[in-house]
This record gives sequence, C-alpha cells and structure tokens, in this order.
Amino acid sequence: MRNPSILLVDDDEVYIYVTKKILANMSDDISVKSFNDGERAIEFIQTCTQENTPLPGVILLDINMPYLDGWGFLSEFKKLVPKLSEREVNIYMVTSSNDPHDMERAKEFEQVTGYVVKPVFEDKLAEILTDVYDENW
Amino acid sequence: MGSIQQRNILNKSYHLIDQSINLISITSFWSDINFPEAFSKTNTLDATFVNNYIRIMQGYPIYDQFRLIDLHGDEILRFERIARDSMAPMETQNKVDREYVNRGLALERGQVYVSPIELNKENGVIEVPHKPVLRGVTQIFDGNDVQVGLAVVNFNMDNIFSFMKTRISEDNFFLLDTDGKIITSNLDYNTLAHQNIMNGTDSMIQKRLELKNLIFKKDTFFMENGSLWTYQNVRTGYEKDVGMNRYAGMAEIVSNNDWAILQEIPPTYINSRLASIRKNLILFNLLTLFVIALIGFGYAMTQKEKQNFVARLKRKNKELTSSQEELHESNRRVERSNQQLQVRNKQLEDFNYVVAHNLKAPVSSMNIIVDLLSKSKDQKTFEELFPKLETISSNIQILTDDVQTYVSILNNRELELENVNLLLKLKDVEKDFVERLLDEKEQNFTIEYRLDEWHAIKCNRFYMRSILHNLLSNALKFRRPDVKSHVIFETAWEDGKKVLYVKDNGLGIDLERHGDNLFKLYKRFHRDVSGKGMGLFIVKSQLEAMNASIAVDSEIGVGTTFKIKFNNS
Repeated sequence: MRNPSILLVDDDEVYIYVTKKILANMSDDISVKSFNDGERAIEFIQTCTQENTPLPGVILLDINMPYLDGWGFLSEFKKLVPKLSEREVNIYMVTSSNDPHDMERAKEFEQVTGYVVKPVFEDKLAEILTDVYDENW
Repeated sequence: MGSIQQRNILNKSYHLIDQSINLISITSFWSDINFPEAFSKTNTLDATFVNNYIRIMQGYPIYDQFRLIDLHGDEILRFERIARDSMAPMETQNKVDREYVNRGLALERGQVYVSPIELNKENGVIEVPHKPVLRGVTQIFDGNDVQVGLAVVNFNMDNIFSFMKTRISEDNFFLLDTDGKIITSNLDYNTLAHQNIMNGTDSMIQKRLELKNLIFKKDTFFMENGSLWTYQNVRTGYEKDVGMNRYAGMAEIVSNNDWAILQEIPPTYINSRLASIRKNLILFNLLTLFVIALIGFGYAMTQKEKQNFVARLKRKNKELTSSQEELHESNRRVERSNQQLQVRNKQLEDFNYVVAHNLKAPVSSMNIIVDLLSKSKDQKTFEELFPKLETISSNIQILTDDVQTYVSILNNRELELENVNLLLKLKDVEKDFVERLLDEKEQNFTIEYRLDEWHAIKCNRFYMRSILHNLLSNALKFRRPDVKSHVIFETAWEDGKKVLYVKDNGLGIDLERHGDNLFKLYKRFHRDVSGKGMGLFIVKSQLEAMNASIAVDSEIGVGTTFKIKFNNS
C-alpha cells in the first residue's frame, strides 16, 4: 500500500500545529505538508502535476483563508483535474463553520469527498484515513 | 376562400405525389430483373425478353419511352410511343451528356432517380409538339448482381397536368419548380415555357411569377396584386412523414425536385363574391343605427337621474382620495421599513458569517488543545501545548476587539446624521496621510476631486470620515509602483440618488477569483502589502448602516473603481 500523505491548508497556525501533532502520534508513516492559504496550496498542486511528483492522498481544506479561500482553491483545482490522470486526491472541507450554506456549496463540487466541522479530533482523522486508505488506524 | 383553395391544392398535390410514387415503383421494378451479362453496343442484347413488358406498357399512355442504356451512356434498346396504344423500337442514341444518365450512373442499389419535369428532347432538340416528361432512372443488374446499365422510363405528364389544371372556381393554377419557374399553368397551353425560346410578346408570367410573398417557400396564402394566392409545397415524402405505410418497402428516391402548387383567385372573382357580402353589410348597418337610436332615447330618460347620482359619486370620490393619500403615505412607510429590514437581514447574514468563520475558529482550536492536554500525562506535551493556548488567547483578544467595532456599527440604531461637506471632509482625511503623501518616493501620487455634481451629503460624519480614510488608504497601499498613480473622487447622480465614485489606477484585483470575498472580514488579496483585512469590511458595514451601498469594478493592472450609492439622498 502507499504511504498516507496529507496536505493541510489552513490559515490557523494553532490548528496546523495541533493536527500535525495528532497525526504524528497516530503513525510515523504519515507524511504531512501544510500551507497557510489556498494560493500557496494550489501553486504546490500545480508544481506536482507539472513535475509529476506524487500528490497528497488527502487534502484537509479550510474555507476561510486570505489570498485564495477554500472555494477559490476548489475552482482552481477543478481546472487541474484533467491533468491529474488516475491519481486520486480526496478533498475534505475542514472548517469551523456549520453554516448549511457552506455545506450545500461544498456538495456542488464533485471533487469534495467530505465535510468536517472543527474541532477535528483523532477519531475523525482516523476515520478519514480509513476511508481513503482502507486500513484500520 | 383561402382554405377551400388550400384543400383543392392538397388534392392536386396528393394526386401528383401518388402518380410520382407510382412511377417510381414502376421504374424500380427493372432493377429486380436479371439481365444478360455484359451487353454493349457491339455485344447486342436479345430484346425478345422485354417484349412482354412492352406489350403491357403500350396500353398505358403515360409510358412515353422505355430505354436500356449501357454504362457508356449508349442506348442499347429504345421503345417509343408511336400511337395511343402502341410502342415501337426506334434507333438508339448516345445520351452520355444528359443529366439523368449521369445521375443514374451515380445511384446506389435500391435507389431510383427522378428527374425534373422537362420538355422532351430528341437528338438535342426540343420535340414539337411539346411533351412534358418525367424520367425515372434505375440501375439494372445481370444474374451475378453486376451492374450492366440503366433502365430509363419516360412518363408523359400531360394527363397528370390536365387533372391539376381543373378549376373549382375561376382560379388560376401554377405548378412551380425549385427555382419558382412555372412548369405548367392553366393560363397557357405552353408547358414549361421557360425551357423554350420565346418571342417578345410572350409575357414573363408564362415563365416565372414575380411575387414578393414567395421569397420564403412555405405553405401560406396571401393577397398580392389584388388577387388571393395560395401556396403549397408538394412533399413527396409526406406519407412517410405522417407514418402512413401505404408505400412501405418503396425504393429510395434520389431527386432534387421541389414542386409547389400556387393558385390565384383573380380580383374579378373576389369582387363578385364580395358584392353580396357588401349588400348584407348595408342592411346590418341600418339595423344597428335603429338600435342606437333606441338606446339614445333610453339614455336621455335616465340622464336626469344620473346627474343626482354623479353628485353623490363626486362626494364619495373626494373622501376616497383623501384616504387614498393616507394609504400611500403608510405604504411609503412600509416600503421604507421593508428596505431597512432587507439591509438588516443582509447584515445579519454577514454577522452570521463572521460568527461561523471567525469567532468559532479559536474556540475549536482551544477545544482540541484542552482535549489533548487532558489525555496526555507527560510534562513535555504540556510544555509544548500551553504556549499555543496563549496564542489563541491573544488571537481571541484581537478578534473580540474587531468584532466589537463591527457589532457597534450594526447596533447603532440612533445614528446621528448631519450635512457633511465632502471636500472639507476629504481634505481633513488627507491630513492622515500627510507624511506618506509628502514622502519623496511618493510624490508620484495625486488626488483629484471632481465634486461638481453635488458636494454635501447627509450622513454620519464619523462613519464618513472612516470610509474616506479607508478608501484613500487602500488607493495609496495598492498603487502600482511603475506608473504615476492617482485616485479620483467624483460625484454623480444616478436614478435621482447621489453617487460617489472612487477610482484609482492601482494594482487592481481579480474579481472572478475574489469578488465574493472583497468585503469580508480578514480577507487579504495582496501578499506583499501589509494589512489585516478589515478596511473594506468596516467600510461596507458603515455604509449599510447609513442606507448606502458599495459596488466594485476592477481589473488587474488597470485599477479599481468603487461606487457608493446613497439611497437616502
């Protein structure tokens, strides 16, 4: 099986720190990368597609971010989909908002696998990894 | 009258279709017969086997010629009608340059080519007396299914035409081809006049009808030149289209024939029909006059009574008008508060957004850290996590202050409004940036005022100051370093409302990407320009509190224009 790789996209430094910590506690095999806004994250994805380096299997995407927000990231990501060949990227919207509008809007993007309301505890992360990598955590 | 004409035309059109389909099936018959192999001019065909068919054909005057043509266009066999009831073999000709031979050679198995209706030509010369013919062409095959040539049947159209020329009234009949040329008409014994060389006295009408309404080839009737015209396309595929199966298994037709029938009812006939209608009309008018006189008499009788009634009505009306005015006034009030409610609603939505996205974030982080702390017992984790709590705490402090500012704008119901002179206020705001504007590096920046349309506005002066401050600050912050920068404050009117434009030639912003977020809290769009993403959020909130709205237009590398509309003015 491939090693789990997760990309965290969030402008909340504390959240990034804590989530990385939880993931490190769960397993040493998980590779974690993070960006503080959607623009940097999409630039990274673009580089991956150009250089044909492996993409993260899971992206935990915040909605509310500066420069390019989660929605902006999704619409840019959509444009890249044809270049992604069969490499599968699972995007989870991770946000403190439980606003039904946001949930509805997330459903409009077929690239979005799930919608998670913060705080994200260990069991939720395990559930996501199990869904994606089909493995017990 | 038009519809009677149309029905009559439909009959004629069906007749033509029926006959054509008949001709086609007669023609396609020949493609099913096994001919001897490879016959040609030199290798002559023993014609005896067709004699039986000829015997039957000669009884039907519609068959004018029957020919077999080889693949070089040479006639191998030719039978022509010589009398009402007999056909005889004739000397063969070469027909390689005739359209129908070429079209026939291009056919595929199972297809029948139907030629346009033409005057018969022999040896390249139109035959006299004129004989309108329709040719059916099909391929013929030998016993091994190899094509050996074509069978061509000429059909004499005279009989069919004579039926179509019958009149139900004094109508004139025209059968037209694709180009609108007249194939035949009951005005003239000359069939296909346009194929003839005519002398000058022959009128155009015998060749082609010049009617304005015939530009579009659709079924219709119309008046032109005092006549009633009815136009109907002849659709050979009609029965197939409506799903009738009468001709199932019929050969596929190849043809560029488009026929149409046109009938004209001349003015003389229309007038004679209208005369009787006119007589009735006069009678009817007389009767009407009499009835009107009666009503008039009755009206005079009741008039007096009415006058009383009208006086009463006027009184009532006056009362109504005054209460209507009251109604209008309260309507206006409702509308105003409705508008305010809408703004309020929008504000509430924005506030919800801030709560959902900004306020909840630190709380959820805190939540999870507390959870981690409670689970872990070792000192190291504790030392790591505790400073994070401090970060969150200071974040919350900033956030609360910002939200406080925002909420105070939302809550300020008794906003003090006064007349503010825009130019004075702008000059005052300029002072906030005096150092930056004087800074040598920034000498390049000009502020332009075009405040001719209006110069004072009823608003809250603190809000107005804050709004102008933010907009000017943005124009300074997001200028393009490589050009001479400016910002223009310009007043205008729109729909009777005061409008303020703030235009700069700065960096501009991609509205397609960021349009939704431009006025939201903590949104920033330019990485190398400092700021916390609060300015436009506050501007919008303050404007809404004063019943004004803000819109933006922007292009990257060109500049940004903010448009503020004061709905109270």
